[in-house]
Amino acid sequence: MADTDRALFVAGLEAAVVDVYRVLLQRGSLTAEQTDIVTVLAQHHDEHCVALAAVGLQPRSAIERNDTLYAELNQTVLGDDPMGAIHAVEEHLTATHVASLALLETTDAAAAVASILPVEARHAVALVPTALPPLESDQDAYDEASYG
Amino acid sequence: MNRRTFLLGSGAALLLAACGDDDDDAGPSTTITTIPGPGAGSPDDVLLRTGAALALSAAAKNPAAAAAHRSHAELLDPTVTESHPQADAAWATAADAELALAATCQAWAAVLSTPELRQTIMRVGGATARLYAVALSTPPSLPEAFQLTDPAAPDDWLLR
Repeated sequence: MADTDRALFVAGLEAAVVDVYRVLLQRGSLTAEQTDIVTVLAQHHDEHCVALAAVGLQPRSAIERNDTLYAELNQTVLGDDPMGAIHAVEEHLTATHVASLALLETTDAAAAVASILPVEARHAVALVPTALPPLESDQDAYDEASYG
Repeated sequence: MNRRTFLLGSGAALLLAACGDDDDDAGPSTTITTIPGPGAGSPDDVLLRTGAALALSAAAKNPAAAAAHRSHAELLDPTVTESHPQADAAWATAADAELALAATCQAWAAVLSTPELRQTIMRVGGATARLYAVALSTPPSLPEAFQLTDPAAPDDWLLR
């Protein structure tokens, strides 16, 4: 898979996360503090989608959300424990970026991912302050085989 | 010109400049032979060696994360056993150390020559960004949308 295609795949994952977080916000079921957090996370993921779309030489408007992930997140993020599910999403996305770095051939693409990955890792630790792995892992990545 | 090209190209440019200049100005010539320099290995080796030393400096500045940072040093270059003297002097707090190390990993992800090495440095960089958030505030605050490469370790900190 070319770097552009890989970036567009991950952009589609980010778009799915944006959409489901916004549905959750529209429901109005979160506390004020949770609403503030999820609003920021949704905005960040939208900006990450824009950046990855650019790596894939596409505008944000051309990015379609990954429907497989969106359907999955409808069952978790919109379920009984949304903040727990959101933490899991942030960990999975971080792992996805770690996995991408082993596949991307160009340093420009790697640089874009390297500016995103730490932010999503910090999302995870902001939600769960004890989420401090000694090293980031790619083990729980959203992979092409399952979400492609 | 990307950062890697700059790093690789600057040594050759300085070498050519020095060969054509007979004056006694020793300024830039001090770095001529240091990338890849005798015994210094490849530019990747220089970055990984420096990164390992920076991780050991971060371990000293942030005892709560010392074990994690020692594992970072071991991953990046297991032959490094000493912390980085300039980082030891410059980094005043745990948050200083974590932010600088995270930014350095990000900066060098655009410089290292292979995807495997770029992934390796960001396995460290992502974990360090988490440690920065914890060192900075309780509870950890949300970041901006993109991490920046400032304040990455400057080029004259490279252990060539």
